[in-house]
Amino acid sequence: MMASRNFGQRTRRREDGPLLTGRGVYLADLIRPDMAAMRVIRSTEAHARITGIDFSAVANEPDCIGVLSAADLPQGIGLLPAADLVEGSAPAHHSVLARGVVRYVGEPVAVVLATDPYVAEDLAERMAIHYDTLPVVMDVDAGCRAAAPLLYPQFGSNIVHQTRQLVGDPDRAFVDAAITIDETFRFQRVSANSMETRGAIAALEPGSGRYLLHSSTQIPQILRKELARITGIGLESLRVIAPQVGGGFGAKEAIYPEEVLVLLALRRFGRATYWIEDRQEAFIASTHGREESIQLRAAVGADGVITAVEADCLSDIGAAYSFLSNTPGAAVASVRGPYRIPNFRSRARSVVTNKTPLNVYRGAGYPQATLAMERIMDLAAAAVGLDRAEIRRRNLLPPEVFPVDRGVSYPGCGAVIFDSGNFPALLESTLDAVGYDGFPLRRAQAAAEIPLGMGLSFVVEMTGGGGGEPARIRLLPDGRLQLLSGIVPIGQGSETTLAQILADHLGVALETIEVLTGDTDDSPDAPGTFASRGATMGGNAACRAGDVFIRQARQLTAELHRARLEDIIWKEGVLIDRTRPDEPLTLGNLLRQAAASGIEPLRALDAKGRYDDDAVSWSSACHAAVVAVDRATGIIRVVDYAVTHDCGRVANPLLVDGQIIGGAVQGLGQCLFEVNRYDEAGRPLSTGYMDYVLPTAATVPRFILRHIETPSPLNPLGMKGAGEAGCSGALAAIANAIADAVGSQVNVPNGSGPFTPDCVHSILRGAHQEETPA
Amino acid sequence: MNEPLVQIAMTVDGAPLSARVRPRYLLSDFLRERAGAPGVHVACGHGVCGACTIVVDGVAVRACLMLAVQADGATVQTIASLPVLEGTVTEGTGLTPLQQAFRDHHALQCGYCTPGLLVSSAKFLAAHRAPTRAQILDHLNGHLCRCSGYANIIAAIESVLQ
Amino acid sequence: MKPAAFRYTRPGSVVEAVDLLVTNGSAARLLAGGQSLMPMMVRRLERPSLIIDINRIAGLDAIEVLPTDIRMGALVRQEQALWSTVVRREVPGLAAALAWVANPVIRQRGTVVGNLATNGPAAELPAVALALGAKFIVRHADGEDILPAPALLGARERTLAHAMITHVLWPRRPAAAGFYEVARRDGHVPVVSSLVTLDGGDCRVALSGVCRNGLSCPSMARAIARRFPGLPAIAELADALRDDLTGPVYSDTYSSARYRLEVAPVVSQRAARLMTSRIGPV
Repeated sequence: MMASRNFGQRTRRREDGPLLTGRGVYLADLIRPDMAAMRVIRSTEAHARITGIDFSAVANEPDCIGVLSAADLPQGIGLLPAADLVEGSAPAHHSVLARGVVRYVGEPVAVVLATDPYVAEDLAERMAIHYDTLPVVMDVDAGCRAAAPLLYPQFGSNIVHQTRQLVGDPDRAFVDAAITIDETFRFQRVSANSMETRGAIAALEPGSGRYLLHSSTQIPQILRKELARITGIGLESLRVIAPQVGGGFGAKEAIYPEEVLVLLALRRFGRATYWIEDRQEAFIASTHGREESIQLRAAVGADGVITAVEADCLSDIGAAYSFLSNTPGAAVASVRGPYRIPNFRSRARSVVTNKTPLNVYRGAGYPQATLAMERIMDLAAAAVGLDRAEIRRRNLLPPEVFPVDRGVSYPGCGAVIFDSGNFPALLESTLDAVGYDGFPLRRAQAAAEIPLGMGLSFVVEMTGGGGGEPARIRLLPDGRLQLLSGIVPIGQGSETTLAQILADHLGVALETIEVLTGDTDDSPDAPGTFASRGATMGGNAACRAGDVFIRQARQLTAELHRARLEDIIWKEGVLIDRTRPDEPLTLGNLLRQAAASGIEPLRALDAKGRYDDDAVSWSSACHAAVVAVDRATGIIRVVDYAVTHDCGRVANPLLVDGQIIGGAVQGLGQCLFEVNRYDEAGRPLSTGYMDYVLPTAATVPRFILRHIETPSPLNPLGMKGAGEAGCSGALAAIANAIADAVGSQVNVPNGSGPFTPDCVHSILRGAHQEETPA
Repeated sequence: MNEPLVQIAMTVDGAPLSARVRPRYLLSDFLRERAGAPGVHVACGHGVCGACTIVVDGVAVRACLMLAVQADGATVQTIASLPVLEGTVTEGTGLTPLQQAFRDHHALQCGYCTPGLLVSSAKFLAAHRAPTRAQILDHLNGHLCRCSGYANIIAAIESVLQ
Repeated sequence: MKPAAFRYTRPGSVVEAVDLLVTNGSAARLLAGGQSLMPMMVRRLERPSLIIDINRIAGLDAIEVLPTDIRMGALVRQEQALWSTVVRREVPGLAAALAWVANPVIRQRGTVVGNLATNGPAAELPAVALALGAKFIVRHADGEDILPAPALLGARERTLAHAMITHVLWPRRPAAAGFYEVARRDGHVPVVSSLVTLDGGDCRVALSGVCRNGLSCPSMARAIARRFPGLPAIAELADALRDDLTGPVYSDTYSSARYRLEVAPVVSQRAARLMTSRIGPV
């Protein structure tokens, strides 16, 4: 790494120009008038046998281009994969169109194609699907009972997956413990709600005859590999492009039926086909997040040191194993967070229910695990009579023990080994930022009818991984450099960050670097954008490619000047022959000289690099929230929110801060407003933003953000991911603050609520039931 | 169904346009598909999120809650007209004060909610020279953003007021 | 989320509009601001076969001062009414309530009459109309009626058939006014809201979100007038509210009847406090 002119700067984003002027090109902007509009006919039953699909009203309509149901799918075509199945998982093959049985309201049963989406919706309404209803499973407890109706009788159980962890001797620790705390936490089902819904367009590429799929996806490369197999099209005949993506948050990190269906429709009816998800549809068709329960037992010593923790997690993964549905529950393997706690046992089980499939959503299980652990911390502090900050101090792993092998591993992460961190420093910084010492006075001065509370939380989170990351650098005719990266821009500013990193690595000006992303032709082997891996993995890959590029440039120069390679040095974008130091060669001149000599410079200067170490690095953060509870109305306001965040070396603090704030407000949304409810028959009750409440600017606290950098020793840049820890700490900090505000005499339900006004109002009056009565 | 088409004419971002459209054709779809204004973004389709906000005859409205036929004879302005709505751009960048402020304050991430938010904010600031914080938050209640967490948006708008 | 097909017409006069309503009956819907009707249509919960767009009918966008009333045409937008100096002086309760309705962009298109006619559960304005004694001018084929608000908004409301509300009349009553609302989130659909106005000894209290329809609350009003310039206790207001209920307490998926009933006196008391301190809207 050369001069550090750009790394660490609050560089404004190059992405912003087109986005600010309405010229960003999102999926829906690529629709052409000649394309067919696809509408999905979705199950209106939560669990039923399909007894008839009647197309007759529409199949012969002139506006109807075609219809498809499962009967039209060739054998072996159209089966969706699940990526995180491990030994002991039940098999999972879900057809893109329901075969015989539907298992959630929203499951695709058929598709109809028409000349435009208005007519497609008209036609879809007139198709008749007949059902014989089956008993529904609407919660995991019911699903686990011996006589529960089975969603997949061939599995023999609704529990489709289980992982276990064991570290040390927890039983012993519990026997010896001064106090045992045992609490169960419940996390409600939410939706990611990116402002751009999903969509896919399938067309034939003119000239090559390949299938070209555009999709609003975080994982175009994985998508291409899976779709090639699922559709039978084959890898060589399929290109996938992610255009500008309007937010993902994990819900665009799956292989979805509609992406398969547009390709199958194109194949069948010979017409380019598009599908745009509408918002009402998104609530049932895009994967949900978070729903699980965690039972956490802690063995606590009289001195507040927690010697053991035992966790039992039941995830409600909905009706199907979607691409990464196990990960959220498996994250409970990391429930101990930053605390030493030498003895640990956990079990994580995934249970199918008749709801929309569950997948990862920002934090992928860490928000839930963090809340459980941090709530236990506060309860333990009260039980032994310790200050809440002090009990954390006594349990935190100190900086000198890194790297720390936690003795657990889980799919998608591998072994949990904290690479670096300084947890005590995070704590002290956040306590200072939020005014912890002065809070008792502040609380005493608050009006009795609007008590204040403060909550702390600590999160240690896996980032990176996903497999090795490629990058490619090409020289452009005007002498600028083009970086082709597999990272997909979903709003996180990856193009700017990667340009900053590469500019410094090469010692060139920022403006000389252009970044291209999202096209599988350019970056076929990349994993994509998830687990906050973009800047770290993409940045390191860019540097590797940069090294290859430098070598290529030196070699070409040596060849042209008939010099020795050892005499050619690269200095800040210029090549210098040591034997002729007064004649430095710019890339532009190198291009010209090569062309004059009959060498094709653009072919000679095309550098492929790869960062192959897919080791996971661990970001950490300490959060503190201050809330005000209006006792008379039950309305909660988050007043202040402090975060000290450690994501190793920070390439662009402006963008990292943006990720923290965005993530924290999503956590705030879950705690105070958001829930996807179902009625007893399995019909979803969230159909739009009148039901499902999202945070707005009026709900946002004052933010105090700080950074600590403990570089990761695992990659040359020393970076770690920053996309999720803002969200992962927020549920815990706010839940702890609410409990603190209402006082220990009040029984606050364990979990993330949502703490709606009605819910808080009844909590304060001791009248709370599990579900807010309708 | 046989849907008789209706003849309409309007100007969109300064350009005259005429077309024959179905009555139920939403103005949001019309602008995106027939008027060359893909900067009008549809995010919720039921008027809550504000991403589709445009200006019709000088008034900020939700394009997804209007029919194209209702804009017959109207002057329509989208994000492309922001320099006109704000009245000024910075030489060199070509960005308006709000656009510049959004960039400086990192008030956008994925950018999907941004055009509607900018149009709406331009009209709001034109109508309220010295709004209270409560009024700014009331205005922003009409806009959902899932990426940014809003803090930088508030800062950007407040910076333009100074 | 595209509407089902319909025919569209844009009458130039009230006479034409009423004619179309008579001819087409309940298959036709009037379209004014569209902020309530369009969301229903894109979900296909409303499927009119004819849309009668009244937005170009001249003269319906006026706010006029009459001897005892303010007459507001069917096309007066909510934002227009909120900022009207006439409304703020003569019907301050309406201005106070409008500041809490939705957000500026919705208000710039949505009409006062449209909001009243939709009469959504827990909506702010219908209760305000009941408490302030508003009246509707309704045009039908044979002429014009003036209907008191309870006829269309009260517990025994009736639907208008073959007729169109052309104006709403608000009695002129400069008064102190205070409005308060609780919602699941600031700016989201109201759960419970209340208006309190006081003009000499004449106190009016409107309450939304407790019954399915808005309530005018004379008992609560008496309690507030009695205690002025102090405030009645919550328990006193809760007692009075029991007298003012006209039907079962409303509930929905997210806010129970129990919550609404218990928080309503709090909301009214806060509205009364705002009124007492003479803080106007916004």
